[in-house]
Amino acid sequence: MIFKKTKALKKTEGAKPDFWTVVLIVSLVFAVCFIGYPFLYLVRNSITDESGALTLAHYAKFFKKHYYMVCLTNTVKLALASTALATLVGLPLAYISTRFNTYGKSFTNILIIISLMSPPFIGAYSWILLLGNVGYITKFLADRGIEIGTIYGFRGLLLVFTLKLYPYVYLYTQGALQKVDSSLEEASESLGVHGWKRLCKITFPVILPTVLNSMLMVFMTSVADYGTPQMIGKGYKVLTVAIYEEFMTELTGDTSFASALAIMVTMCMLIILIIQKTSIASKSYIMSALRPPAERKLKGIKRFLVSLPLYIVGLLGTLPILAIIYTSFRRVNGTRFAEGFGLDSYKNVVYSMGRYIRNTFILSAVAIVLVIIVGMLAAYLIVRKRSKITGLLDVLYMFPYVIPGSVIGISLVVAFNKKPIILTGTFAIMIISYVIRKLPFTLRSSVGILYQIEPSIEEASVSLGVPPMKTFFKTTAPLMMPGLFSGALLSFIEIINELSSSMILYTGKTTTISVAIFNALFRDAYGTASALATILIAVTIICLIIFNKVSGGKSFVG
Amino acid sequence: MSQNILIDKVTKMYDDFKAVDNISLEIQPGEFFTLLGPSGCGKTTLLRMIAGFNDINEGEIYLGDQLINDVPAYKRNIGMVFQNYAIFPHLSVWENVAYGLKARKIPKPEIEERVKEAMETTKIEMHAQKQPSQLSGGQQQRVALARAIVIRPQLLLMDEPLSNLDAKLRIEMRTSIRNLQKELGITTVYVTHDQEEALAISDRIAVMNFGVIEQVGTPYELYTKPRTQFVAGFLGTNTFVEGEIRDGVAYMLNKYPVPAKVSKDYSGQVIIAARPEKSRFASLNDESCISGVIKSQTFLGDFINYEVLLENDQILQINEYLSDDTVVPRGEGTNVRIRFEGVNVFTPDGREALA
Repeated sequence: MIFKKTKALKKTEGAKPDFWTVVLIVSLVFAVCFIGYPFLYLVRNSITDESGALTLAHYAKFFKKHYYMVCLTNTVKLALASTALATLVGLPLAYISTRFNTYGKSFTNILIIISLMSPPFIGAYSWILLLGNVGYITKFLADRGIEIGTIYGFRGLLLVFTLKLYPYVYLYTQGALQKVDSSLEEASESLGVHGWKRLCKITFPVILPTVLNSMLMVFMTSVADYGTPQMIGKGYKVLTVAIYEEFMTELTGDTSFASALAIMVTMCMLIILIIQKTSIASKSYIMSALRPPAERKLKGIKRFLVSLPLYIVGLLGTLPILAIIYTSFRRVNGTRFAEGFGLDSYKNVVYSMGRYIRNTFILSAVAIVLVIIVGMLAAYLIVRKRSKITGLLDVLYMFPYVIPGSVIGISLVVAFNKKPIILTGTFAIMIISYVIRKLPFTLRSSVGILYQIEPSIEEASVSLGVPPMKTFFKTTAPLMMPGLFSGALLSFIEIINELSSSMILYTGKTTTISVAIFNALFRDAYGTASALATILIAVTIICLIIFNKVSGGKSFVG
Repeated sequence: MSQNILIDKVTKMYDDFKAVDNISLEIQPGEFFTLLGPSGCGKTTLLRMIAGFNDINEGEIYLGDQLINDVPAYKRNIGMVFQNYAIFPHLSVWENVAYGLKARKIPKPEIEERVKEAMETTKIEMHAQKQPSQLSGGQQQRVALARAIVIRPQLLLMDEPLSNLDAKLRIEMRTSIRNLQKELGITTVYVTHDQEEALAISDRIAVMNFGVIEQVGTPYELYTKPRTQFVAGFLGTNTFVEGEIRDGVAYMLNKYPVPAKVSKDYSGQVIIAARPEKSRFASLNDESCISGVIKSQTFLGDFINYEVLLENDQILQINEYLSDDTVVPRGEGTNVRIRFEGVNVFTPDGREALA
């Protein structure tokens, strides 16, 4: 047979760049502009003096001044103590709830998740309501002649962080314990190792990497948190508060020292993360239990006693929320509380702060949509178009994971408060900070989901005549959505409750609910603050309910 | 509608590794052509180059008289069936089959009609409204097939489509695929590592190894006249025993003459390939036959498979068919001699057939 070798006509659309090349360029430009450049600018800022000459004076100042060293040790001390306590609370609770037939398991689980998802500064504020100098409990006890110490300072911080962060340890450990195949423990028993010994020799070592990871989450969250120490720390200064104060006092002029502080904190976080990646991550055991361990069926008083700790801690964690809701319905007169209950605070909020509520939801909605789109596309590039450049993209987008919110806020301000790009005071800069802060979470879950979707699904679509871009939106994207959506809901909750970067970036025009709560507290407008916080809590709980429905329902992958 | 394919000196590199090394092939219109080889031999890479999912480093691929090197996959109008079926899990069976037609902006009544027709051809019309997760593996395979043929492709590509099915279904499906292909008369390139499947289904087969084609031919040609030791070993069972050719006669272990028409003027060391079904027990007195001891026997219904430890410590397999009632199973340790009804002979490097 003779084949005619006529060359095909050169494609006319040859000049049009491939869809994924465009996506890659756009995501790289975004990452470099809003993550790489601001952070490098911050670094440069920290090592130059007013004339622009190189100097390490700002770092030297940090180590020389007693005040800052105290901040550093305070931060570390608080984070270590919080981690230890959260573990002591979370670990046994997780064991109890996975291995025993405690009462109302889904109820206690929901209590624990709610205490995790409510913003820590709201927790701090409500503990002030409860245990502050004129708090409900303080007064109640004082009336009976019992004096308790002050909530302000280290003790209060530790209380708030422990109750807010133990759920990390609890949830991670619970997940790990459910994945320990019962054959492992049975094997141990058959070899004669049982009871406590089995627990120490088999069960705990197996879940240890996961527990350490959750402890790391607790540690990093407590280092990065700004709202709680600002509100309840009083004399106990930590680095994030120091950064904020330095930044605010320097705002008119030189931000070099605040930059140096911000870099220091980020470096600490980075070092911790690197230690985790190199030592813990590699030791994780991949397990999927074919036969998860059975719950021990206890009866009567034993069952009650085993369930009790879950209820005590769960209710203690959610007590602040109840206190806030209660407070929000008290009648107010100006900033003072009056007798009885009413909707005064809500009326106040609606009349004077409707804008803040609108801001919060518009900003959060735009941010979360962007997070989903960018996260999905970037994950696709990272998984399916693997190269050095997409590897760099991955690192850039993950970097904000280790940067405290206030540092992200500061880096955006210093980078974009002058020509050529002025973004300070705009909605855009708020959205950008939310997007880059929450992107790491969505990106990681997108990457995980993508690994479970066969590339051949897309190839099938392409071979049926659908071009690559359309193929992505018709096949892979809808397959990723169910998994992504539930993760995005959690990110949405975090964005509406976000404080640390908002505090740096907001202006009167762009004030959000959490900023407004914070400001109300400093005006002692507790009613207003409570009403605003109740709105946040209500939305959070609604989102959690949807999350439960979505993630429990049908999903195409996993 | 059906097209021929010309693959001309095609090469695919992964860094320094040549996955496909300077391959040329012609596939005729309407032909069922199989790429057969062990995993990593480059067969799937070549298939994906035809499909447009792997780019071509060197050489040219023509579909009909059109050079398709630079035609993007979605414009090639090639139907493809994937190893894992790649059914869109978020679409119903009907939507899966209609997917390619909708992309072609075909009017709705025609879509309805063609989808119905494709589903009837593949016998899945009763599953039209189901979700893919409700289907068995074999049914999913039929959906994948319907989806690929409904677009009336110029060419059908199949990448190990049966490897995820159980043995019985595999045989059933391969007959269906073969019948469907003949009915539609569509040029088909099929990839598999299963030699039995390749023999059963193909008009012609290209046996591949290390990115090159060892031999192209009909199943009968490949099985009876393998051109290399690799092909002989890959199709069916063969035991390779050393030997030599003297004066146009092949001797196993340089002593025992075997029936081989040595076509070339060759003398010296060779490799002799003996198949179990061409080996017979000979009289123990016949000293022109190689001797051995029975090591094990496996009863397989229509025949008994023996493993014989030859005098040079190699294991040779013999099938003894039960069509003859006089067959008595031989126990382990029995001394035997073996003659051959036919053998293949290769050069010592295995690259050339001598008989």
